Amino acid sequence: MLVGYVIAVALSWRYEWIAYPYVTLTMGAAILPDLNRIELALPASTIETVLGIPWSWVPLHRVSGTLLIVCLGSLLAPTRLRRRVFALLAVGATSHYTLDLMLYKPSGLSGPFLWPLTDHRFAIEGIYLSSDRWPALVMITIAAAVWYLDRRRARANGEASVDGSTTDNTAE
Amino acid sequence: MATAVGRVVALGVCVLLLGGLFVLAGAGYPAPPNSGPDFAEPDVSPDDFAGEHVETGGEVIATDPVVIDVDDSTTTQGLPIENAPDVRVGQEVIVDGTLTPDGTLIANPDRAVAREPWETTYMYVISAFAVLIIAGRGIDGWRLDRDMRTLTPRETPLHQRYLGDHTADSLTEQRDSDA
Repeated sequence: MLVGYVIAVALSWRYEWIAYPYVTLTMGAAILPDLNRIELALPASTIETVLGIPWSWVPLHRVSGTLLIVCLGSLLAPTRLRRRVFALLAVGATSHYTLDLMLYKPSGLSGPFLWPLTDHRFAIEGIYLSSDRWPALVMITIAAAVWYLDRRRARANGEASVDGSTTDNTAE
Repeated sequence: MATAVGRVVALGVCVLLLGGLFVLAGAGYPAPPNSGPDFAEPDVSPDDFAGEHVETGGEVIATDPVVIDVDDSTTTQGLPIENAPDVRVGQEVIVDGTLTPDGTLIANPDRAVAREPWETTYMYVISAFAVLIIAGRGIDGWRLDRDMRTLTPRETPLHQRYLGDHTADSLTEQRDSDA
């Protein structure tokens, strides 16, 4: 999520239209593949029992499923914003898979992210575990630095910071 | 109007494709979407996978020999581990190894991960925290446009409208030239 924040704020320095709501969008997209945690609330086995068909939530954490969710999200946005929403959702989701490829796995193999196209698993020599504390600390530091830089930059230019307390006008 | 119809059709196609993926994944076609067999399922017997290389994990429930409790949200199954790293009951391990005909996993202790239960709790707590931040910012910055049936960015985020951040007004510029 913080990676999504950092990327979006940094992109906003180049692309003026990336305002506060779009930063949130990118942050949300960065945790989109973790929608598969819906399993904890609504286990696939329950759906299989109720509907009598095979079911698995795993595709939510595969590129194919995430792409469809990104398409759905883009379709919920107004037509004129659709490309922007799609682009930022895709950027955020890509950051998630990129970080997943840096996870340490005892097997040294990633999950088959490209399913159903292929069940190929990438060899990864990861550097962190999801339960490690230091990645969050590092990202909080970087995000705080980016937040500060953004404010300073906005003050210098006499305009609104993308994510500070100033107004972001989204012209209708 | 044509665009409205097109949008509904596109939404429908996406939902159908997504549902299709869930069913395909459940059926394991064309290949199972998981990294390996799910030993949390009681009807998945480890000895059926003798000779196969798998990665799995769970809570340590016994140490001599090490047995881990592989579970998902609904089901659970014990799995004996040979060559396990030094662990205590209650710790969680992720191991990679080869299954024997008697359903024991011969692990590679050098690559195994052992962690305390609180580390997993931390992982879930910080994830939940992230979800809350995003939900809060989402409600703050986006609104439901009932007429157009879309989610659209608010012209003024709620926190500015209600907390009255007037000091910022002088700095404000039209950043978003959407029109």
